[in-house]
Amino acid sequence: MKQILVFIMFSTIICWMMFAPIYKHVLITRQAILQQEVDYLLEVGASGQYGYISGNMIDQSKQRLARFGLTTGSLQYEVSSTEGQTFINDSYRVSRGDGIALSLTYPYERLTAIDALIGIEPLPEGQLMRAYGVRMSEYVE
Amino acid sequence: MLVIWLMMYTEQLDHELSMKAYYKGKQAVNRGAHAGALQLDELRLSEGVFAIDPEMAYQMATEYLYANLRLDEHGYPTSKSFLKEQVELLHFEVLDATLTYPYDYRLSEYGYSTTFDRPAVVIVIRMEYPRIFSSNNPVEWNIIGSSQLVFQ
Repeated sequence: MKQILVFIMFSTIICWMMFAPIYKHVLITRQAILQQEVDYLLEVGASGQYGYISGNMIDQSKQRLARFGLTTGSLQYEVSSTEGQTFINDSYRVSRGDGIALSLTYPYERLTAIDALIGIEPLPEGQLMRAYGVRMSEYVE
Repeated sequence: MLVIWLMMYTEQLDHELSMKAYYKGKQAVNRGAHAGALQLDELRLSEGVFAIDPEMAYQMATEYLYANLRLDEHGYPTSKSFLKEQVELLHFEVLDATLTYPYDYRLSEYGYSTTFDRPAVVIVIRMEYPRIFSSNNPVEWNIIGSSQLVFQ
């Protein structure tokens, strides 16, 4: 009986030891990918040529992220300006002096579920990882 | 065996996360400097001089720097920020239009040197990474960024 208990304890710990770092690495990498995408969209969107982040740009961004294995349906983009402008596209551009803020969220899914093996409470279902950035627009009419 | 493995695990986690934190800090500094460098001094522009308005530049640069890291107006983290400690603004400098460009800029205190073709904004901040495992060494950086005047 004692041996069985020891075996179960050790096997769960070894299972956690083997796979937890990989899950953590995926989590950190996903967060980094989201941040990189936000940085890229802001760099392009706030440049003098555009001054907006349109639905079309967001669709292209989703395609890029899909290549990293993210589910496009779960990606949530929120574009706004520092002046409170929420309609932002090629006919409602953000002009120089105002900033474009972009927030991108994606669910953690079940990446931390493996921590339950060693008694750490996993992140609750539906919690979102978030990448955020705000950059001043260079667009002049 | 287990102890060695755990040490590697905690080290890996904090190492990866600190790298990402550094990039976020660097982006924030760059965007702050960029927002500062967009502040043309209109009065001097009317005299035909492209210069940066230092007061507006400071205001906008700190606003964008702090907004990107989700800090309040004094540099303290809000609940949305991943940081735990105040971000210090160590150095803020606006290069005036009266200098001769290209200008060799040198900030020996922080080991930074570059050449500017136009008036520019230079920012240095100190940021502390909030490590998860206190067994790891504390990490903090001086992050340096600059941006030149933007005009079309």
